[in-house]
Amino acid sequence: MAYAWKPQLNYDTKDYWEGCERKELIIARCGDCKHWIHPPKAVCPACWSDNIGHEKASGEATIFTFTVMPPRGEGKNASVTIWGELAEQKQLLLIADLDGGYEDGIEIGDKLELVWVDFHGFTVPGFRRVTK
Amino acid sequence: MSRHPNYRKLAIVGIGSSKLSKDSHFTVGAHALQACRAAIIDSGLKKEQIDGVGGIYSTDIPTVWPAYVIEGLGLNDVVWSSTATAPSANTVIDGINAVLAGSCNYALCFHAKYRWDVTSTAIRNHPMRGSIPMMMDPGFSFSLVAPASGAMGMAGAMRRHMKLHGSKREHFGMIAVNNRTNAQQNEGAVFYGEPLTMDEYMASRPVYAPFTMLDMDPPIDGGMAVIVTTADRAADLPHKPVYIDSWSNGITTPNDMAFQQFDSYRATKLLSDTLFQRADCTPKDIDVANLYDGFTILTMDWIESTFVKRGEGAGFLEDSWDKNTQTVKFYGRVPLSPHGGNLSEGRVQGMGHVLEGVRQLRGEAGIRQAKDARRALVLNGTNPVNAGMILGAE
Repeated sequence: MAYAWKPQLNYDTKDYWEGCERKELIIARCGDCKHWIHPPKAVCPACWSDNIGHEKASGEATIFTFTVMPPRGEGKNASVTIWGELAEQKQLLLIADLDGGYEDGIEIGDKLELVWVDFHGFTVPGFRRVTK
Repeated sequence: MSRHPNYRKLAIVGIGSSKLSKDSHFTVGAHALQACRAAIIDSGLKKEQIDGVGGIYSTDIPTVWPAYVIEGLGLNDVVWSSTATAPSANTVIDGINAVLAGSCNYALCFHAKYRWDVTSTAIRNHPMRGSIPMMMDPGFSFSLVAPASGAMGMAGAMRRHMKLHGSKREHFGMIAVNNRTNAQQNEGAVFYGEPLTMDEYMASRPVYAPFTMLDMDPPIDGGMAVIVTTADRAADLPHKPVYIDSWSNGITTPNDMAFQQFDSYRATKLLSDTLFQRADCTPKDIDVANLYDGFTILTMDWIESTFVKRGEGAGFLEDSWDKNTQTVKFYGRVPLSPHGGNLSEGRVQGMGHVLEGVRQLRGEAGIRQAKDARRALVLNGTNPVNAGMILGAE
């Protein structure tokens, strides 16, 4: 099936997508009040500053919520899309798929690490559960 | 508390719908025209009197704008025209504001939805249903995800509600089964003749687990419209006026449609509280509750924000569930979406909730008429797009 998805660069998202190419999670952050902003925007919602920079985030996250899509085809695993709450700030969410698909026992609150995966020729973030 | 000064200043005087269906052999434009024509005829107005036209234009897929209806029905006296974001009740609010401000005397407000090739895998290659290739991304956020949809966010919100507040699939099933049961008394619903049992709901196939096809309204071909005017003008028209006691939106943050579909309760509570405050009544004064059901989790949000508190919806649904009739009756009396909602009529994004409110308060709801209905609650949408109103009859 032809799939037309590709990163849509604009003046807000450019740093994020260029970070993905380098396999770095670059998140917009207010230079004044230090509030993290994702999806990136040109004005800080917390203090209204225009002074928006971009910083590398740790990639540490926990599962805020997730959804499971049934397998597409024989022998394939179900896929899981996760809203990962980044360690940097409460309810700062990154949406990415669980690398490798569904795992038994997955639950809200599970710890996650960031991985980089190929999606139709583009490098995008993925998550992996951190198991001890 | 005291009533808002605009209490019962305005009324809905005409309603119309096209024939809702999954494969209508009409275009989306035809549905808009059929619905608007029906609403004008229902109101008893002449087409020369229609001087305002508004519609829902900003939605997930291509739709019809007011100019199409103005041209298609040959309206040449339109001095107010506007588009609103979905859900449907939002264009009615636009019409209310326009009439109240004196921008026009009679506002025709419509929404038409269509089963485009992009909305249903079953018709992906249908020769007559090709959409203009545009998916709106009003928050500029969907493009940051590979891939994502609003429905996935709803599934995430449902899972979070289940984890945080202990709701079970059975509770969402009560909403789905109630709406389908009620639709068996509505010949216009696309699921008329197809009742649903709780066992069938529980066994349904997940699309985005934890939700299934039965937690989501089906895409259909359909248009609906209403006409708003002042209470004074309504007195001269054929139908018993259905007054607008209060209306409101309620939008809070965060609200991004891809990333942040999890704080809807703050928004829905703001909207519900504002409606009851302005109408100076309480949820116990409501006789019919038409709560949005584009997704069952949204009905849960509206139940909690209107009747109880966050996290208490599941218990309240258990108290309201009538096993014998397979319906929900709040306080043992108030029906939930007697027309069957979007889950059963199909996805016209809440306009059916408005039309059913009007029918019930006119006393024209036939076999599903709620006894002595005087006030109907209409709640549409979620955060960040919603609209609600309390309708009243004398």
